[in-house]
Amino acid sequence: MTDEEFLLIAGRARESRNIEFKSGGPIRNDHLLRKVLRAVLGMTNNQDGGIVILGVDENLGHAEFVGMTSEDAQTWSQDSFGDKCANWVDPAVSVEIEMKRYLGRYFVVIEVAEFFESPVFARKGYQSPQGDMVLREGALYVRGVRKPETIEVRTSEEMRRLPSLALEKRLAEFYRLTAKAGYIPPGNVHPSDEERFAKQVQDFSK
Amino acid sequence: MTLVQTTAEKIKTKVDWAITVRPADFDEVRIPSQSSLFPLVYDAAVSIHGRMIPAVDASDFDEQSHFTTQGSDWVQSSSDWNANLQSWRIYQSGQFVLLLAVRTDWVENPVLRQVPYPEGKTFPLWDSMATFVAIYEFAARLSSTIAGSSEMVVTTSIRNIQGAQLVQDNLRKTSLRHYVFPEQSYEYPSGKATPIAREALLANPRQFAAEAGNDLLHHFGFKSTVDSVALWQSEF
Repeated sequence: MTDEEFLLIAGRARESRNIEFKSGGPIRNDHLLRKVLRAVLGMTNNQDGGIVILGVDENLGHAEFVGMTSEDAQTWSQDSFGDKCANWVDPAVSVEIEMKRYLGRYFVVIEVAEFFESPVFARKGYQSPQGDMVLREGALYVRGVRKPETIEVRTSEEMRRLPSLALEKRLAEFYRLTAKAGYIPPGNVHPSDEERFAKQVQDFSK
Repeated sequence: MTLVQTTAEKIKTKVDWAITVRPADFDEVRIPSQSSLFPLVYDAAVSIHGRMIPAVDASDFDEQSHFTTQGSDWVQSSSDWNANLQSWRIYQSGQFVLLLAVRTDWVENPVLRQVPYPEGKTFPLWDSMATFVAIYEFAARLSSTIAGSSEMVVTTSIRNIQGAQLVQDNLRKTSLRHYVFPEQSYEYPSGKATPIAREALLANPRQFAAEAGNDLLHHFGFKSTVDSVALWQSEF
């Protein structure tokens, strides 16, 4: 993520389908780590993946980019978080971690790629000290359709989105391979600008 | 359903305009701050023929206003006042969509009209010509803001228009012969919309408005010319 992109997100200060905020702290904070893992699961099972930003306080009802200490931010290295991910999710998730400095404060940005071939599950469960089920073993997490939040798949509507996303990926891979072999597919696999604009307004103007 | 959404649905129950103004290229967060969406529309809105298109009111800046609502990347506002029914939404991509009712459909008792409109579905000529001017003036203004791009796309759909009779709503003009819209809906431009260069739009939005107005009238069977429509529109 470029600094400019980070500034745009910080300026907007609002979660979206592809952006989730978490508070700051070191990776050894187990409760925080499990919550971040849950967010990563939601993002990887999401169209286009997403970004998890650590260092944002949402306790006041709005997102405040309060940051964390440089020492805490540095504990979230690619290796340390990669190891944690390997233990807690299945199959593997592709993430990229970097530290950002904004207004003299430190943030951790975790860029999560959309799952490769099949959706990603939680390998283990974790219940918070307050009794909240943060992660449930074997559960699938996705980004909510109506609200920008990570939720466990519980409805058939949410469940249906994942196989169709997996199918789209396989189709895209098929076209990529056939194009490599010299075959030109009929039409563009990716939606055109016009299609993306049309999709955006379909609930309003139709 | 909120008041804002109710108005949008109400507009769709009769003949309605669905107007889109957007950049040619898609960028989901072209406008980084959601809070700047409403002011963009407010500043670009056009006052014409006795109304604002799109309908905006400074009091709607208030997040508690019943006339505005927002989603994850858009802001929507509606107006339902004196047969002026509008509902618009602007997205952070820069895409703006306006749903607009046809005034004669919602006027229960036209005042100052000595010759009543004919029974059934009607479509006001003068008001529609003003609407086209407002659309392209608004598009030009929006194109030069952060919501704009070097190329813009402006499209107009008029839905449920089949069977509507063109009527003269300007009391100072002569009444019209019997022109009835033959198709289910009207699209302008027809087919895939060609992007308009921002410079061209800014230089002469009324030329685009005259071409669009002329095209609509031809669909009614009214043999106007771009020049004659431009002349009428010069009165606004």
